[in-house]
Amino acid sequence: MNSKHSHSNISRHNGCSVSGALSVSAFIKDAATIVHGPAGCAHQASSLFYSTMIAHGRFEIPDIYTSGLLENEIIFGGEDRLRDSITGALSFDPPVIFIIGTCISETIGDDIDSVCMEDYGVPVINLNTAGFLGDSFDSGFFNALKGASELINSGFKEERTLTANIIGEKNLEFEVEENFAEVKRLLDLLGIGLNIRFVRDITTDDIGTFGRGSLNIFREDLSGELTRFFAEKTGLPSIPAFPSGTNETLGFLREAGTILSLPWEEAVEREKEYQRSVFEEFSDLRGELITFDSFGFQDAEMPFFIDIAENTGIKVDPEGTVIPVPFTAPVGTGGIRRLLREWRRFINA
Amino acid sequence: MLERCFNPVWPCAMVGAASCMAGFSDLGVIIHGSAGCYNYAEMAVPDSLNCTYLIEDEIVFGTGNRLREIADAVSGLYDRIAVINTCVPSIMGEDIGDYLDGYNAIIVDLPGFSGDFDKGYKEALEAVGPDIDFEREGINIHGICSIDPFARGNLLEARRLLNLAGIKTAAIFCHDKLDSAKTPAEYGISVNPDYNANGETLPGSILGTEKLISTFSKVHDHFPESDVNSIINEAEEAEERIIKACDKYLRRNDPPGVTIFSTKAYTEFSAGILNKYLDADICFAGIRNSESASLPGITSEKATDIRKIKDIIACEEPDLVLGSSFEYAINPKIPFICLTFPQRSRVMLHSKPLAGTEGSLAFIEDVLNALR
Repeated sequence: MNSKHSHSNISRHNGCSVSGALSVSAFIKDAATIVHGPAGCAHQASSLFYSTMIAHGRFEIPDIYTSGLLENEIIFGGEDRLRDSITGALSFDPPVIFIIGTCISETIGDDIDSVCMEDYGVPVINLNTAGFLGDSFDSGFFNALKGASELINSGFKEERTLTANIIGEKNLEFEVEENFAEVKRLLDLLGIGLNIRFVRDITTDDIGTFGRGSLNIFREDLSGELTRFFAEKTGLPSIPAFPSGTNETLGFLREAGTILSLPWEEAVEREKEYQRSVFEEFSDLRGELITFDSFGFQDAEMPFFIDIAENTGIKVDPEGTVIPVPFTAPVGTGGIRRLLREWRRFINA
Repeated sequence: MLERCFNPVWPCAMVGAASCMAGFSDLGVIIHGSAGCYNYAEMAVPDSLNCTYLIEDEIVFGTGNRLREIADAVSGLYDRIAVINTCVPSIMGEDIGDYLDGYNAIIVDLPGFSGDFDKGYKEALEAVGPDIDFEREGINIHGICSIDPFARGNLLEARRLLNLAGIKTAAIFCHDKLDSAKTPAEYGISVNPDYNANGETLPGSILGTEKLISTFSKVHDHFPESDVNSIINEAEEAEERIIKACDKYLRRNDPPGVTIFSTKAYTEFSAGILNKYLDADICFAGIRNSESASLPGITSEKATDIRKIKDIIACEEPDLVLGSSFEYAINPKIPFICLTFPQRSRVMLHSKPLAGTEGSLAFIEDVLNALR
């Protein structure tokens, strides 16, 4: 038995905040990250992280430092060990150090905030994680984005440009670059440039230029937590998610254009034409029957799928070819095209 | 002094204990901890694992009910259960033995902060408590550690060689039923001495043709009815093939400079064979599970820190790197051979051995192909 799938309470399966935070901090190329816990925590998180990168065809390994807590620190406290680790990391001259707490440092009660507030000559930022104690992968990810935002400069209003900030890309997502490229294509239709990908393959200096953007676009902020936080921090208007499906994609163009007082009508017409050409490309699938397999934990009822099926002339029917529901909805019209290629492979198999 | 450590490349004691225990097919293994700890162990260990998936409430109010809930479920599927404690419940100091009264569970308190993979593996094996059964026929096979990329290939090779000698396989550490492992035979051969059940095994290791011949010669002393000549002949023929292939390489090329990063026994094996047949310059041997290796004239140190490994590879500029996919990722342009966990940069489907005659042949084959 693998009890991973045997419990109805899925809150037990929300992962570890250490990995979530690392999936942000490790993408600031010149920053150092210290996982404050046993070496095994850093190994496990970085191994998972790195193997995902390998699967994406990326070979660079970011430096992830561990305070390497041992039994002695478990008994007597790990704060001195954390100070030593910060000193060790400083020998490599990082412009910023992020601290990721673990369930161990939380349980033994280390005061990470106090250690971070000491003077090290560079910012040492606590990303406020605690492994699984009240935390999850997502909360680690959110807290790390908030922590990294401490590096955003204020007082930039006169430098603002017709560009967008992309916030909270899922760096471990297989299609992260394709999704970004799709949103960039949509922004290009409106004449909006890119300011910063916060946080993906950037430097600490890049973060300082955050305020030159005029619009924040989030990868996915279902709860609105990040949208509210960044609105308050930067004063910039926001779009809460990358678009999925035909209508959302057109809506994205309308919304971005309206927010920045740009004419959007032509961009929408061009995108509609592109969508028609994509569905025409899959006209051989008209009349086919499909049904969705959600693996028990994904949402197969999303209107998004019905929308694509109807536009292609495919019928959703319990007797149809079983199509697996992807972990995340494809982004934009380009995402629909890749999804339909997959459907075609299943239907023709 | 604080040991500098970037991206530690070797797992913690909990994973070692899980790898050992999950090798016993009739033992249900429960990781008593959170999803984060379990998810990694499940990815690293190919055998089945279960988990209590602890949440904060249980850390506050106690983990007993949750542990018994999972123990109940897993007990229905296995003859016996083993519970491996992780960091947080270990710090809580609960008496999980008391919680598991009546379950006949093997309890292993090996949280990550207690040490590395090897410590966990060895202490879990001690908890199994092998006790030699002097009446049992056959020879044990030691060193089958499930995260080792050669574990399955080594097991097939060791079994093949014992079959060839006409000797039964007794206990297999750790790929067996629990009762079989608790009552091993008197003698054993090892495919990877780092993971022997009880330190040194007699007659010994079969890593490399030299040791293989020596070990099976001793096997014959204890099992006079066995047919070890065919094995010794096969090993000598294999060595001839290795010499011929390596000589051919050396007629056109200089001996390669090699950096090795692996566990102790595999490092010693590969350094020995590369030195003997290719006159290789072993620039550095980085050991995952020991402070150094027995390699006269070769610099060997513990290397579990990716920054240190990066520095060594950059400094030595080797012609060939042996290691895990961490080492491969540092510079994918350098010819590379898999020698230790983890291997995620390439597909490995077939059961490749490192031990026995086939293991030596496969190793040299990989080296020569990589150096082309």
